[in-house]
Amino acid sequence: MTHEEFRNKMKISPQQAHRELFETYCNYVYTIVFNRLRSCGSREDIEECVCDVFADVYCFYDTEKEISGDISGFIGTIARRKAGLIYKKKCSVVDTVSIDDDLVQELRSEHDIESEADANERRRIILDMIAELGEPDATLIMQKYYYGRSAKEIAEIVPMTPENIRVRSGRAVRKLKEMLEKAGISL
Amino acid sequence: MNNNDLNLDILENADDKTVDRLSESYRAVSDNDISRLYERSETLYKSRAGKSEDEYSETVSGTEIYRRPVWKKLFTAAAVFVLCAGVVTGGALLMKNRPVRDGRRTGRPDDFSAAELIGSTEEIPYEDILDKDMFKMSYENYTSPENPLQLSGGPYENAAVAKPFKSVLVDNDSVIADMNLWIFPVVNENSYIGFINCDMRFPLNGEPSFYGSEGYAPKLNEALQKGSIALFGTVDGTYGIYEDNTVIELDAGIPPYSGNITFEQVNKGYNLVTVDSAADIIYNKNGEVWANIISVPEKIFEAPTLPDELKGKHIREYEPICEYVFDLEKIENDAAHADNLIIGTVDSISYKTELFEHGGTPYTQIDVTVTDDIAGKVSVGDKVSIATGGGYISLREMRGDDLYNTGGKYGDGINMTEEEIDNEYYHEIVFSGEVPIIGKEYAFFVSEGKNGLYSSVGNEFGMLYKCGKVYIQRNSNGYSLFELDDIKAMMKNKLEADTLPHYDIPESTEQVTVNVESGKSLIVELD
Repeated sequence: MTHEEFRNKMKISPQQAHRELFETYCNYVYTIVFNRLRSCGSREDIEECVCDVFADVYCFYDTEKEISGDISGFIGTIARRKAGLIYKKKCSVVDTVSIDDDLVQELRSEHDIESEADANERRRIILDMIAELGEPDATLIMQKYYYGRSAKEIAEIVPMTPENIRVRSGRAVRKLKEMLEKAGISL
Repeated sequence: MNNNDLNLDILENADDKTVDRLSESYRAVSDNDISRLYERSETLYKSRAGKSEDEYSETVSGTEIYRRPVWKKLFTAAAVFVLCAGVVTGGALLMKNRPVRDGRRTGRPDDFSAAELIGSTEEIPYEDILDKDMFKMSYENYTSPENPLQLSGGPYENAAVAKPFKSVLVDNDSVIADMNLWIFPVVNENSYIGFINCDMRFPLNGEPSFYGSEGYAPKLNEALQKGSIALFGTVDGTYGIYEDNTVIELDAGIPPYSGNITFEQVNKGYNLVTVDSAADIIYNKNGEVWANIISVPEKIFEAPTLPDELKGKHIREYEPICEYVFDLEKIENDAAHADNLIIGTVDSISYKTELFEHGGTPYTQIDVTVTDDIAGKVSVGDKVSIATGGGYISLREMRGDDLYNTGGKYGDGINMTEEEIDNEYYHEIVFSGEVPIIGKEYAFFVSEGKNGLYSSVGNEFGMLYKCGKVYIQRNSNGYSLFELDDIKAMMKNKLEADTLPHYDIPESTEQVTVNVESGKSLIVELD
């Protein structure tokens, strides 16, 4: 959705505009937030953060500004910042250091560009291999092992019974492990 | 770690590109969760903005389609697949329950009408549907050992899909419209066991919805014992009508049809289910059954058109005796001898002559606009020419310098006037003598020829008529159908040694004596 489309929809009905924006970008925002808070936040924390992001978007979106382009960048930025704040609040173990402290000079950036580039490449290969499994196996793997959903929960979104999902995801994970092994990747 | 465990922690804290990819490819939130979270986000917003419910609610007047990520296509249809139990009725219910956001419905089931069941009339050929992942997944539900559809008597390892039919929507005394929904019957041993429905009426992002179940399959088997029926639907469900106009309820629990529709009105051909319909298999566990879904066109080659410049000339037809080093009708041979398979649309056909020292030989030049090739030597849109045997040739070109020879095998010579010679042409017919149809697409087995002209390998047997994704070869047995992958595999085959031309002639040192004049001889060495 573009900024212009959203502004036009807001003029007709803010409520409908919000709903469409939510339905269009809920998955996007949830993915961003989940990716950041997966290990340290509960599902409730993640959901609350997603709702918070949209509430902020609705509150702070300036319909008077003539901005053009896709609105996803705006929403994505809010989602990343919000998730980052919650991450820091709930999960960060970094101590605060005074700016006047001598230690400041010795502090290094948390970012290691080289290892991040390696990790990104590994992520790309892993996602390629998961996609190579084809559907529905790729989705079963992601839902079960990334999003941590139970077979019963997955059955709500794929046309399979929980039993079928358990059997199929078991086969899929074995196949994926073989592929990863061949590529020299261990998880 | 258990062998079935998988740690995907590495995907956490990923870069934006990876997150975008995850978002585009996989669903993170279920439909139920979306509604719940939306309500929560609105509550948060209202409390922050200090808005009351009244000043916020407004009437919605018209919406527009908006982009949905890829996974939506798959799982919206998937969810529908699970929810709907009936066939046409299922479609009706689906429409009843359509959410408000598409602007077509208010969401109240009581304002439902037959007109709303019609939707889009844009049809997708059923042959194309067989290729869709959702179709394949739907089919697997019938063969899967887990029997996810809980089929009575299932699962059916050898379930197959028969040619689909459609239904029509009727009211009391007339047919309102055809239902733009393919009903693929799933059969086992000539008996219906369920249906896969491809609903094209309300496409989501251009994609049809798939749903299905055992549905009224048992009832249909029972109904067909009394004869063929034409299917029709009302807002209540699916019915069948016999030739004697008696109507049978196919869906369970629906009221008897109370209108006056007749078999003649209902029967449109595409909704007629006969006793033999279940045997018309188009898809099974091995994939598509081409022979039953491809209707071979009436002709895949045609008789050559006489070029304008030859009209009025005297044309003699002749069929030379040709010998080939391999059997051209065997596509494996053509594939193995070819350097490339060029696929393209025929632009024009012309007739040329290859001249030699003593006369010439005709060939047919096929000009083609390339749409694909196997070897990657030509590009889409390139114009190429392919030569194949046979064609038209003038007497002058055919005989060349020998035209005016006399004596020996030439006897008294040509014995024709110059005008007669100019009007004399030959039509050399090789095999059927027919040529590809202009404007149609073919796959040509070719080898590199002279002056940028490709040589056809296999003559007309090496020219495969493209029909969708099937390539048709005409041969003495009728037609053979191939898929591109099969052809590619054949092209990689090495030739058996005994199919190659054999030129290994040992050297000779023999001498022969030839009498050249009476009493004289000449000794010639054979080398």
